[in-house]
Amino acid sequence: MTEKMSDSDMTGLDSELSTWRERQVDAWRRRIAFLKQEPMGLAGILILFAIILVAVFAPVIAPYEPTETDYGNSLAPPNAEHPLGTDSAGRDIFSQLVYGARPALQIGFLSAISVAFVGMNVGLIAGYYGGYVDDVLMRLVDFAYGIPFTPFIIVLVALWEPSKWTIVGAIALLLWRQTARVVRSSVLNLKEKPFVKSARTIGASDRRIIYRHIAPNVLPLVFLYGSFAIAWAILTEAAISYLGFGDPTAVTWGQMLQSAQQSQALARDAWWWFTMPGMAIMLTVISAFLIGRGYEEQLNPELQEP
Amino acid sequence: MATTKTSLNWDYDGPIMEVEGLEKYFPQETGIISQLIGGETSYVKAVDGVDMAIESGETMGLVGESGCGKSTLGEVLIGLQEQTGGSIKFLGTELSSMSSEQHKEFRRNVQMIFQDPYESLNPRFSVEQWIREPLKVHDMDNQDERIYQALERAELTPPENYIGEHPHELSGGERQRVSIARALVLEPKFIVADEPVSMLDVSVRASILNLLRDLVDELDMGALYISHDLSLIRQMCDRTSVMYLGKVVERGPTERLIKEPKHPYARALLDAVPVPNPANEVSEPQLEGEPPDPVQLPEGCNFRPRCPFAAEECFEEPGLDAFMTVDGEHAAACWRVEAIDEA
Amino acid sequence: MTLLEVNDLHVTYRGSPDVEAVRGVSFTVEEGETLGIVGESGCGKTTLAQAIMGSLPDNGEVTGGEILFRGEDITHFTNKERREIRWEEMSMISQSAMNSLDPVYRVKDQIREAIQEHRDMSDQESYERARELMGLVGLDPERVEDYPHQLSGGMRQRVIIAMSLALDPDFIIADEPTTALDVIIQEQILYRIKELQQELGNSMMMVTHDISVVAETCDSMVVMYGGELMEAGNVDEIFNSAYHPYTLGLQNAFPSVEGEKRDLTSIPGSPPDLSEPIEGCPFASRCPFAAPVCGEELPTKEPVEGHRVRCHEPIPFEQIREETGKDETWQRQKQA
Repeated sequence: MTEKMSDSDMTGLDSELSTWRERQVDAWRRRIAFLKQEPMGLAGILILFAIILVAVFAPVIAPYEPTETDYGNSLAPPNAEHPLGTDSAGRDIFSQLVYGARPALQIGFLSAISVAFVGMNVGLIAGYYGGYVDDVLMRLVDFAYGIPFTPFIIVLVALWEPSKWTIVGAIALLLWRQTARVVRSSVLNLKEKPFVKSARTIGASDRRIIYRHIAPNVLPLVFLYGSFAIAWAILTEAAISYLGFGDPTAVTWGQMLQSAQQSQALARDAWWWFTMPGMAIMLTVISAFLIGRGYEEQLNPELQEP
Repeated sequence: MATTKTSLNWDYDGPIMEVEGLEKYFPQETGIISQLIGGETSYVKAVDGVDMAIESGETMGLVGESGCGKSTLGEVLIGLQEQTGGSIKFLGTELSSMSSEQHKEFRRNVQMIFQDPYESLNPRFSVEQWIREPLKVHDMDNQDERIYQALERAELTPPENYIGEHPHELSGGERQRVSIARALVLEPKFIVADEPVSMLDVSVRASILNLLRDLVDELDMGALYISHDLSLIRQMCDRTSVMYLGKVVERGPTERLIKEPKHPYARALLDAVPVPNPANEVSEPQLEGEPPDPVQLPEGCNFRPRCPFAAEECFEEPGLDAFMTVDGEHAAACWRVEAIDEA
Repeated sequence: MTLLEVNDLHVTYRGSPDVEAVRGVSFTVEEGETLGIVGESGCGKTTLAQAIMGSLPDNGEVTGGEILFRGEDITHFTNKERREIRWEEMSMISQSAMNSLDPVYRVKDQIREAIQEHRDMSDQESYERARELMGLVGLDPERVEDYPHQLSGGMRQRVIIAMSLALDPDFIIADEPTTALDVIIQEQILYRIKELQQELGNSMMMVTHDISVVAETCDSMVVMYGGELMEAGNVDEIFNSAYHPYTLGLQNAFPSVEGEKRDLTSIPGSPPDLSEPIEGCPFASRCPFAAPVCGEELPTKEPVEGHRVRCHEPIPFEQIREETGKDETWQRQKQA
């Protein structure tokens, strides 16, 4: 027996909206509870969050300008005025560290986003359409795999300029390959699920099926690989800068390592100069890995127990 | 806002869904060596020349064991998979030559209900979003009203309790009802149900089956029920086709087919179906062994190697008209029906 | 001789919360008898089978009652004690058994291992026995050489059945042994099982949701719901004159190819949440005849000898039987 929509039904829809809000709150509560379940992942989140805070509030936290020189005070070990010491030009290590968090996170997140975006889309399209499209895209992936990463960046630095954007660009050009592969295989699996067949049966367009049905179900996987990308990006910046291909005017942890090496900090027993940036890099990378590994089991369908 | 212009011929007085010589072959992946040597590609002939006609308002049952091709047939019929050969006609128009407008209309009028209630709903969609989607795709008006109506038809009452739910909050039976609501919200004229209740508890099955039957009646739809369970098909279908290795081996009015099966495979099938009657003990199986490898089909009748009644003539492949009753309603692809009946 | 006696068995899964899956079930299995345990998912039948077999998962525990096998109390046997009876006196065919064959070993090696763990047989002797068993279940003895993936689902299930018979046990528990199989293979397997039973004289407990299979293969049956026994007795009797509303509802929900076509009835609602304690009858919330008395502890009635019913009989049984045949009766309950 069917009824015509009456006014009371309209109210039903209104109250539907407020319950929608309630449901969103509830969904967030569930997500947070989920995050809390995994201590490793939670630790990662907290560390990363702390680093983000440091980056955001750098001007407030850092006692000195990172580029402020003080030749009278060069290579001072940690003391009351400079809690982490100074480098060969008298610049405060602690301030450099704090400001260095900014480019680190910028590179990290931008790389993660581009890896995620490119990788996800390639994987979605290759997996969904199959056939010729899949072949071409997967050959592209293979090609990307064939290119060794560090030499590639060095070449790019030579072609463009030594800046953090070059690094982001290099990562965006190459590191999407793993995400693409993984997403594609997930798509191949999802494609056969009845709910996707149902979407095709009602006549949904390919675009709708890919982005409204399949993509949301691969997002967790993409997020996972994105968080690994953060770690890789930061490590890459450090390596490239250390090798001397970075931007010498930039205040990054990698540059700090480079300067330390150039000034023979080790031989001069200025341990604070290189251990501090090294630890900062390690901490950030570990936090990204913790997040990724911590939630990997929940998020990666392949790892789940049958 | 779409107008209700139709591009298909709704005055067609033939069967709403008609299939002739339908074929769906899957090429077998050959290894490198065989590819180099250059042999023929072998095919799995999932659907191998099937004829079927379903009238509007009629329910046809398709029964067979796993691997017989029935699910593939269902998917090819509604266009989820592309046919390899043969013709599929909806309202007299050939599916493969439909314009995009006609195709859209086809999609609006032909729907499917899937077997697994745990996989046939997108876990991220709420019930409301899931039922609204077909309406969005086809740009229909009065969407809210239609959604409520679909939920009520599917006996998910009161609808307010269900619209915000997500699949993981629903039981198997409820999920299947949501699938039914989604399939029906467009008010299709033809529906395919592939094992709609096999994953549900027994006490829930009857209500879903009754619901489907009532809805098919109420909306005067044509329907194809696919199942391995003959008892279920008997309950739901006016006519039934029995499939074996990609071909229909018997077809007829359900009651007649069940009481007097003609094809040896159908006979064996009916003999094997367990019956809730203790006076019936498990009887000696009429058939031994299993269906052969679908890539290496036997010569002549597909069933010949397993058939207890096989004879010389069976090396010639029988068509579905090898045996037919006078009224043309009941047909079997077997040369030996009269001989078997007499025995 | 009573081979198996189960008295007021309670089985709980520890967790948060605890789930009491079996809530006081009693029955016996005589020598040579086949008992069917019928119920829908979540009624506790698989837990019951596992408790008897001693193969409960880690968090499963017998929390009350006893299991007597040939008079001996095996309820709290240790793993070691269980291993001694396993395969040799009591074996189990579980639902997904066909997937539990080790893919890296040939069939003959897996059968041989099962045999040699219990019997002092030489490799040659157990190989012969393996071939013999394959023949017993209707498989080509040559196929002992195959790996599991070379066999179809139906064949693998038969291998499992062969293994369960390897040491000629007196009692076999079969949990949905043919559910995943096609109907023709199912008939072959069920027939074989019955034939072997006649030959070897073993007893069997067949756990299934399919009452048709029970009708065709079992001598007696138990109907379970919500962890409790609802009705028990001889198969003929229960099919021809059941008493319990659930049994009747269940029978009416099964379509048949035999006889006249009739309308199916369904039982609205869903099974109870076993993590909660249940007062009185677990079926009361879905029962069209439920009365206040149904919240009290269930009595066991025996209207005919050997035929037990657990029901308060809120209205006379004859009336129950009549009303359950009508769909309105059940639909009425849905509105409630």
